Amino acid sequence: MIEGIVETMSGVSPTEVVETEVLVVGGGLTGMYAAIRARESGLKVLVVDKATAGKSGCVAFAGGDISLVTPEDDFDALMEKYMANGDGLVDQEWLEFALRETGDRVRELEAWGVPFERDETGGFARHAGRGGGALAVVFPGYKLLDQVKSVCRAGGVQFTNKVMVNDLVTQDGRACGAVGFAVETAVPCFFKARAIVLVPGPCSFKATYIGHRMSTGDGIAAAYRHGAEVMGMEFAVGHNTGPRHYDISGLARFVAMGAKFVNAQGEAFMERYDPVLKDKTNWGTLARAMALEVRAERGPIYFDLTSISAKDYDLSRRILPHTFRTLDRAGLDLRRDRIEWIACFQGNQGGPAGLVTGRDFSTSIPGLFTGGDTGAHPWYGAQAGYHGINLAWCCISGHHSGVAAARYARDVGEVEPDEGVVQEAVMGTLAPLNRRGGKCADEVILAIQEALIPSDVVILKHKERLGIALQRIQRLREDAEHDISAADGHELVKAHEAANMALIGEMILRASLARTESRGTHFREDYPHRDDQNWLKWLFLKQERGEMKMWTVPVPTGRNSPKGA
Amino acid sequence: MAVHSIDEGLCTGCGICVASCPMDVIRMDQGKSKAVVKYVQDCMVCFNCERDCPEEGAIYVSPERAGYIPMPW
Repeated sequence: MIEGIVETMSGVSPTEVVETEVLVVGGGLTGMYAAIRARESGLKVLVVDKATAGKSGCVAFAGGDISLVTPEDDFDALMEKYMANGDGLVDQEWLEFALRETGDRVRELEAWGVPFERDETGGFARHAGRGGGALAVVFPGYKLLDQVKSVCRAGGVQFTNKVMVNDLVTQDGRACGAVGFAVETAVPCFFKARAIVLVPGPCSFKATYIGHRMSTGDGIAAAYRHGAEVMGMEFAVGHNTGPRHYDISGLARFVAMGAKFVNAQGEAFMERYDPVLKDKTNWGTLARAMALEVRAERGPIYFDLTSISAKDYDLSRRILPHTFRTLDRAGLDLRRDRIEWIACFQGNQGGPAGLVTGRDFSTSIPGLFTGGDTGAHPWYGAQAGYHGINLAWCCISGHHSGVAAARYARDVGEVEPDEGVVQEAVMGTLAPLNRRGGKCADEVILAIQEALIPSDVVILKHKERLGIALQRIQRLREDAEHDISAADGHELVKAHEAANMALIGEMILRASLARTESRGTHFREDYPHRDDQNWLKWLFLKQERGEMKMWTVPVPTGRNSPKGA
Repeated sequence: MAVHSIDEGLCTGCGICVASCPMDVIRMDQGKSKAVVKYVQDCMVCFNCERDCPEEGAIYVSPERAGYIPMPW
């Protein structure tokens, strides 16, 4: 690695310059998978993470379910299930591509040392979950990341931790570097690269639910500001569910074991909203059902696990150590206690929204690749939160983005970024440190959450409420981009996170206003029906001359006609 | 609430908890060469620090959230 120090403008800390061939931003499952793949081609590969690679990101706190489709499965029936769940917007060629590749990726993880459980026939032991899709192998997310990181290290992938990347550098429209800063010292860094895999994850708005508060859409926001196309943001309103007072995971596992949602009257109400899947329904239907029960004054909602067997409960304890540590310390037993349950806003985590990509996971900016929850998933359709498929997708998109970024890095020559452009990006990055008397990032973040999280904004949408929320978010975006002061590196992180969340909040609200129908996780009370006449389309958006421009793109119908509920 | 405490007597200053915290809550006190809870308001109760600490009982995380987060209803 070539490292050096160049002086930037007076009054600014010296900028550390790090040169690599493939830069991976985000050390989660997608990023490390991409890094391994890119490194196999012999290129220098560097992974940068604002925390520590392998310890952060959504997968580090996931139960670890990874969808695995085997030759014994009825492939066409699975396709039909996902298409029905995606509510008419599923890109079927993408869907088939993803489902067919799960086997290669799971076998590769096993070859890398991940000890998936085998059944009595010697096949992979697979489990069912929420949503009725493919069965999944299970291995705790944090241990999975440990194993994948050890493969990275053995292969010679390099890591820079505790550095937040918040801007890209382009030359002649091509991505050729990224600017960030050390979280502990606020010293700026410039990473020069031939290709970039940008995968720091989704925007979950620091809301409730375990382990997503570092995910603030940093990659989507940075790429958007450089003209990248974004899609599906009206569906970036996924909700998992969890206790009102504690952050735990395990919904998919518990409902598969027979857990039920009940209202204040003790009624198991999900049959009213999804007579087929009931409590195992998708995220969108579940969040909407809970919000409607509360609105009808049948709340609060409780999660009833009294029918779960001791054997299943013990299995959960092994798979979800964090969840049970929290419950044990809080003195709670899910089989005994009635625990109030809420919908937990997760933004675009586990949903279709993100940066638009080609099949090689290239974005609309040459040299910039993406995947995981930073990239769009057009094959999810309009729904979010499929059991097991999110982690499979990290592996699949990591694999392909790593291959494509390495190929691009090999094929293109050196690009020397303009020094003035780098300096400008550094100045922008450090700007909150140089403001005095501005707003505190925490107060802006809280105001963003207050504008977006209420269920009558993002679950039960309506033109008037969306419009009010949009006005609030636009003001907050102004504050976040121009008026937050930071005293140190820690506060500088939150200043940029606030700006990224406000930007992505604006995308969600604008796209939600534009889609005048209801579908998947997008439910408009003023347009309560699905409208295939006008809306078998995706909404795309990008920045053009400083404005957020939006347009529609028809959904490719692939081998079958679109179907759905 | 949240990362309740790091026991100064048990902490060896290895820095593992600092590295494993996703939210930059824990820093090294360079003078004492001990880990300290510096930004508790950002703790998300993920237990990474307590789980990864090699010294049994040095870190205790309380399950309550560190700060207020708006609710859907």
